[in-house]
Amino acid sequence: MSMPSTSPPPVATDALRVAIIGNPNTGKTTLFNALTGLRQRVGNFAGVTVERVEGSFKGPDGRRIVVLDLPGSYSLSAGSPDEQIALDVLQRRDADRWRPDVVLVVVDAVHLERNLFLASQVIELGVPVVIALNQFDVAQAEGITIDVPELIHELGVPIVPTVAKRGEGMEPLKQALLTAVMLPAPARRFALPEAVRAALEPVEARLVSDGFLPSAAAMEALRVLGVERTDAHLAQVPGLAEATRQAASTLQTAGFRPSRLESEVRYAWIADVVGHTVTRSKETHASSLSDRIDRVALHRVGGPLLFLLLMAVVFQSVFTWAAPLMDGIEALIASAGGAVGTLLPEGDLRSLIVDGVFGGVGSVLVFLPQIAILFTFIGLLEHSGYMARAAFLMDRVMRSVGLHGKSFIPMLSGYACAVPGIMATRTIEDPKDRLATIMVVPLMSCSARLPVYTLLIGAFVPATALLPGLTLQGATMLGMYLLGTVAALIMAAIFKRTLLKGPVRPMILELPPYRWPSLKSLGISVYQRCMLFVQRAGTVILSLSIVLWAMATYPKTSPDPALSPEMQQEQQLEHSVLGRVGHVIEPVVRPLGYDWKIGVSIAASFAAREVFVSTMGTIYGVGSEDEAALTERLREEKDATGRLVYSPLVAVGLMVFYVFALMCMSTSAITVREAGGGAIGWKWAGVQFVYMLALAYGAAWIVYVGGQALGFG
Amino acid sequence: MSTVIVVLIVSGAVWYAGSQLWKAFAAARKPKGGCGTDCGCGH
Repeated sequence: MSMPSTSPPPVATDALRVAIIGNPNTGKTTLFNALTGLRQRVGNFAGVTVERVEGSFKGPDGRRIVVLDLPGSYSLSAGSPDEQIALDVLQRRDADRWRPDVVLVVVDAVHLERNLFLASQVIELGVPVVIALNQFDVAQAEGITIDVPELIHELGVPIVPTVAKRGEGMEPLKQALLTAVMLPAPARRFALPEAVRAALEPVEARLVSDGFLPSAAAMEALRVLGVERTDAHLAQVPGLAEATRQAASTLQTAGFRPSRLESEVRYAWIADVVGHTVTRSKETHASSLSDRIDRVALHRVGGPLLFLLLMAVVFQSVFTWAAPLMDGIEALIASAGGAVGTLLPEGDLRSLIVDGVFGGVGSVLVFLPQIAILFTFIGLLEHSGYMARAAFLMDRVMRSVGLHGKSFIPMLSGYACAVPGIMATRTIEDPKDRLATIMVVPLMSCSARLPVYTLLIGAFVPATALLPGLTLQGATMLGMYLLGTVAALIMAAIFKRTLLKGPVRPMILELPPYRWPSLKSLGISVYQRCMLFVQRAGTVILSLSIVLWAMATYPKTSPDPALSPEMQQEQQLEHSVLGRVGHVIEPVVRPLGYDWKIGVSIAASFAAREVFVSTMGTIYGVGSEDEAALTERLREEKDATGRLVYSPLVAVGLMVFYVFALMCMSTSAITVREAGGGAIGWKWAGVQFVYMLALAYGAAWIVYVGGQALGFG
Repeated sequence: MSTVIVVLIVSGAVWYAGSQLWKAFAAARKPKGGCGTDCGCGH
């Protein structure tokens, strides 16, 4: 048995610090949101929470309670960087880190047996513990009866049944958190065989002399017997490796299996506890329904086909459903721009407001409905539990290119934005697998590429019906997303076979039962995504649009009065800074079939991809008196010889360029940080930028030259 | 007058765009929780 904790009780007037931990899919993040009111994306698959997220609320006695949401974990291992953070926080060893007064363990009432493994480890850390028995309603619906008072007796810590998604049980839980700090620190609830206890004593002594609480040392001593490599936080403990080896040898001689000892003793105790406290009255309906759906969703052939079909529906809907809304927003922006324009006198200020602000930002804002539709679908698939199946389907593909199955989740996040995708690689234990994933995540088509694809597809790809409900436009969009994904897998394979060689490890993935998505959670996540898009359009895109308007307007020239007004404006544009820069860039982009206007729009969008669309909006706004929509202007744009500038081939080449090119400051910055920071971080960010640019240029050139050779030009 | 307003708006935009660029790479040097305000990721 472990010794009692020596941790000092917290001062009642201070804020109470609570760390939340639990297995993936227990509703941990939903409970965090219910307690604090803070919003965070909630997913049904493992590893969605990779960031430390803090929130606070007032307890029943008015005391402030600060809550830290720790990454989801099945046990207190320290394999990946985020698990290491969780273990450091819970052990309260690092004075610089956040030290909890209470640990709130979120346990899934439906899968109590599996969830109690982590809970039993946390209980032994010597920190006050409260257990939230979450999804209690689902357990009841499935005929699972839990004797809560008996469970409290068995575990020796406060336990509160909760239904986080409906906010049930939150007040008793808050009260329990305040009460827990007054209770004696919990300790191990089962006794180890005498031979095991004696063998582990020297290991515990080493840990205690290094500053571990005695109870935490007992937990660690049992745990390290089963780990292959010494965790980073234990590597510096003097003599620990030798003491552990001796203990393992002694136990082996005594007939124990050291590597399995912890799981054997814990699960034996858990089986006993569950036997006393849980009764099942019927077969679980939800699981069998999930099983029936999975027979199709995970079928060797049917599974991938269903996945492709769902994706086709998503991308087709982005076009079909968004069209009327887009027309509405476009008309609104045009009339607002026109109204503001009439209030201002003719001159540069009016041009700045109408062409720079309304023309630039407006051309990006038009895509808001498509962002909303895309993220509604992604949210539905994620919240319903389907995304975990998609991860399972992709595991075989991931392993075939040398990546760990866990890499799928960061890559999936990359469809929204590469920044959280790269941060999500923290769940990957192996540094080489992690770096390979970081290098390819930006190839997944993020939401910033959507306006570029939509503008070009809307303008140059006809809405020809291919299949019932699927047009060429939807298929082209799906093709762009697939192209990025396939390129990411190929590049990962290249990295894993060259610069980042290493073995492939198997993945263990929990498939949660299918659930009806919470409309509230879905609505919040779509709203957040839309607001971020609007915020970005109103800040970064607005400022860049104004800068580009100035570059497209100055210096002034005296146009030839003999020319038509449109030609005079074209002459002014060519004379401007933007025109001059464009003509310098033109030789570089000419082999791809682009004129100087496309070249300068690409150059401007190296800060952020959407700037391509706003720059086009500004250039064609400044260079024309005609108020026709941007897509119309692109279709009709002619060069000096009277030839159309944009052909479908040029448009496809441009989209392919945007699939591959890394044009995002934030992504490069996060790569520097996550690839190790300093010179190493900059080196990998440089490699990423250069290989993606080379890929983009090469692929766009092949499309243009190849297309012309085949007679598409 | 309108020229002064145009100069002010354009200068403000140049300053803002520059500061965002600076912030993005300053964040890369020093690890911190979450990403920049302009990353669009929602975290």
